[in-house]
This record gives sequence, C-alpha cells and structure tokens, in this order.
Amino acid sequence: MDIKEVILKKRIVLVLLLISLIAIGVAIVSSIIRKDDEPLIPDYDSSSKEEYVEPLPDNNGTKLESEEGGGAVSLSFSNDVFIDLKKEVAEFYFANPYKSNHSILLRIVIQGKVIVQSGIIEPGNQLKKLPLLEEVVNILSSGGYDGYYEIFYYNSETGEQATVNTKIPVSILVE
Amino acid sequence: MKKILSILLTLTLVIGCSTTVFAETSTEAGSQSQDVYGTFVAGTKTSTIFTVDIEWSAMDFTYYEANEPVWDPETHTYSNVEEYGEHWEGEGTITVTNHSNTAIKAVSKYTGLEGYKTAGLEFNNKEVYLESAEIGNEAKEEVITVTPYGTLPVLNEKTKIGTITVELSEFEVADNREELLVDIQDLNNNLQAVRNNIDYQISEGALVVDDASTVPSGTAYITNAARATLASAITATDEYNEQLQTMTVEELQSLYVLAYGVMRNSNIITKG
Repeated sequence: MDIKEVILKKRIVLVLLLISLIAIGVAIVSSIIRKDDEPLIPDYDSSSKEEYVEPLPDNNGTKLESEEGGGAVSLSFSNDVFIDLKKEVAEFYFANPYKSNHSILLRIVIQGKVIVQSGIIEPGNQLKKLPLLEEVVNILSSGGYDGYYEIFYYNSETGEQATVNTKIPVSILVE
Repeated sequence: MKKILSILLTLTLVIGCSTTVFAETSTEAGSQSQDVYGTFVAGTKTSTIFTVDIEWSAMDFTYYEANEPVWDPETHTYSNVEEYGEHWEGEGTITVTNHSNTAIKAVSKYTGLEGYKTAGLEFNNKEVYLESAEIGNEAKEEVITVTPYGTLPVLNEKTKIGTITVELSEFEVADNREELLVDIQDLNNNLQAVRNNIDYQISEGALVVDDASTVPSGTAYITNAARATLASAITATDEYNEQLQTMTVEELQSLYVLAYGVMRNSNIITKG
C-alpha cells in the first residue's frame, strides 16, 4: 500500500466521522426543537372552532352570572379516557353546557406531554372524541396512564383568556 | 334379476322400519309443555359524569409601593409613615359548586409568570371538599377567598402576572379496613394538632382569628365561624377513636368522610 492510498483512506475516515458528528448534532437539535413544538395556548380565542363538537340537547336556560372581569363555567366530564391507536383518536366525554359564559380549550396531557388539543368549545357543546396530535401517535404504547385534562377559559364576548384555569386528573387506557 | 329385486325390497323394508316418528308430548290432563325462553338486555353502564360549576371574580389586584416618608422639620419626625406604607388592594373569590352524585375536592394553586414571581396569592382554603349532591338532593358550594401578598416590579400598565389553577378530582375513600384506619388516624392527628394549637393560644389569651397576616408562619389557625363546628367534631372523632376496631368498613368510611369534611371545610389554614 503506497502513501497516497493511506492518505486517501484517512481522508475517507475523517469525512465519515464528520458526517456522523453532523448527524448526531442534527438529531440533538431536532429533539430540542421538537420539545418546543407543543401546540401553543392562544391568549385570545381567535383560533378555529372545534370541528368535533356536537351540540348539547338542552341548549337553553339561564346563563351563570359573574361580575365584570370574572367568569363562570359549568363543566360536565368523565374522568376516563380511551385512546384507540389504530384510529388515532381519544374517546372521552366533556361538555361545556349552555349556562357557561366562557368558551373552553381542552388539552389531554400524559407525563407532561400534550397528546390532544381541541379548538374552541363554545357553550352549549360537547365533545366525545378528538384526534391525537400527530407527534404523539408513535410514542404512545398500549397500557394505562395517569393523565389530566387541562382546561383554559375564554371570555365569550371579548375572547380574552381568563386568569383561572382547571386541571382534572383522568385515567387513560391506550389500546 | 330376481336377486336385484329381492335386495331392493329388503332395503325398502329395512329403511321403512327404522324411520323415527316425532309426535307432540301428551300429558295426563291433555295439556302440553311449552319451552320458556329468557333474554337478557344489559343495562346502560356509563362512566361517572361529574358536573361542576366554577365561578371566579375579577382577579384584579393593585400593589402600592411605599411612599417616601415626609420629614417634618418642626416635629423632627417622619410623617404619614403608616398611611403610606406598601400595601395591596383587591380581593378575589372562586366559587366551586358540585352537582355530581359523587364527592369531589378542589385544590387551588397560583403560578406567577416569569418576572412577577415576587408576588403571590394566598387562598383561605386551598383544598375544599364538596359532598355529593345526592346528599339532601342539593348542590354543594364552597367559596375560596384569594388575597395577594409580596411585591410587584414597576409596571406601566395593568399586566397579567400569573394564573390560578383549580384542580378538581373525585374524593376517594379507601375500601379496606387497614387503609381506612391509617387515613382516619392521620386526620385525627391533624385535628388534634389544630385543637392543641387553639388551646395553647386560648390559654395565652391571644387566640388570633380571621386575620392571616398576624398569624406566625408554620402555625395552624381557624376562623371564629368554624370553631364551634370543629370543636364538636373533634370530640366526636375522639370518641370514635376508641371504637375504631369494632367498626365496619362502611362505618369507617362514613367516619373518614365526616372527619375529612370537617378538616377541609372548617377554614383551617396552615400558614407558611
């Protein structure tokens, strides 16, 4: 083996090493960026209305009262969530009855990771299912999880997000 | 030909003789039996559906920075020191109402936004217990008072400084004797600790009530309105304490709910 061949091989090894380092760097950066990819919570409810909502049957009655700058909601919910990995949906029951004076944005969270986020649920509507966020479909595996609903409120007239929000622990079964 | 014919005739006889005839079963009185069929339709089973109302007031608080005291050259003292000291104005409330047929608890928590963590919110009742609406067929309601403390940096306009989270969860009672006994003992110890603290403060002639700012950190105190309720409940739980070993699981569960309700709904506040 002459000197030229040795030098060439060394260069090839160096190039391969460089490519490997770049690949590792890209992987690390992308994993960091992915953490920040969680859907944001809007400060105003200008986001699209939730398309999976169904109107509640009793959409009438008296609205809850609250002082100016405050708010009032009535929450109706089950604390069991079923996730169908094949259909990529979360099934549960959650309603924002007509008497609420705030709209709602709902999230389902497992181990700090948002797996489902609704659009705006106006008073008088219910939800029975929501699609899983794309990025969590591949990281969820079958089994039981302790998670929670994270609920944000928006003034139905001004659209402003309220300073009060709600957390509800739920049992989540993934199959 | 004859052989074939005889075989066919023999076969015809054999087949004809072995044919079974089914007939209706007759009984002595001439009546007839009838098969009875049953069909099971499963009842509707649904998950527990909780229905809870949350109402909150405007969480609008104003922090007044202390003014520079004014030097009075005539009296050689600073004037208006107390009037112009730093203070907050504003108070908020959160009302939780349980319409569910199961008991719930609501825990309130404040999280300051980055840059405003020097200010905080104090809840007069961080954790409230709301009985099932099945009891007495009426919704149960609790009001939580929110007051600010700490300081704020200079703000040029009204600014969002944090959020309040109300965590709602089912109030679960253990269903086995061992766990229930431990839970009840824990509650009794807490109630006893509160009572001891009250006794101490009464004996010193300085029971401080209804004013969180005068209560030293690390002490439990109780509002006037809740004192009588708590005192009677402690007596009741003390009496029960001796009978715990003879009580059924159902009785222990009732006792636990009673003691928990008293503990959480009596405006007992632990400061610090």
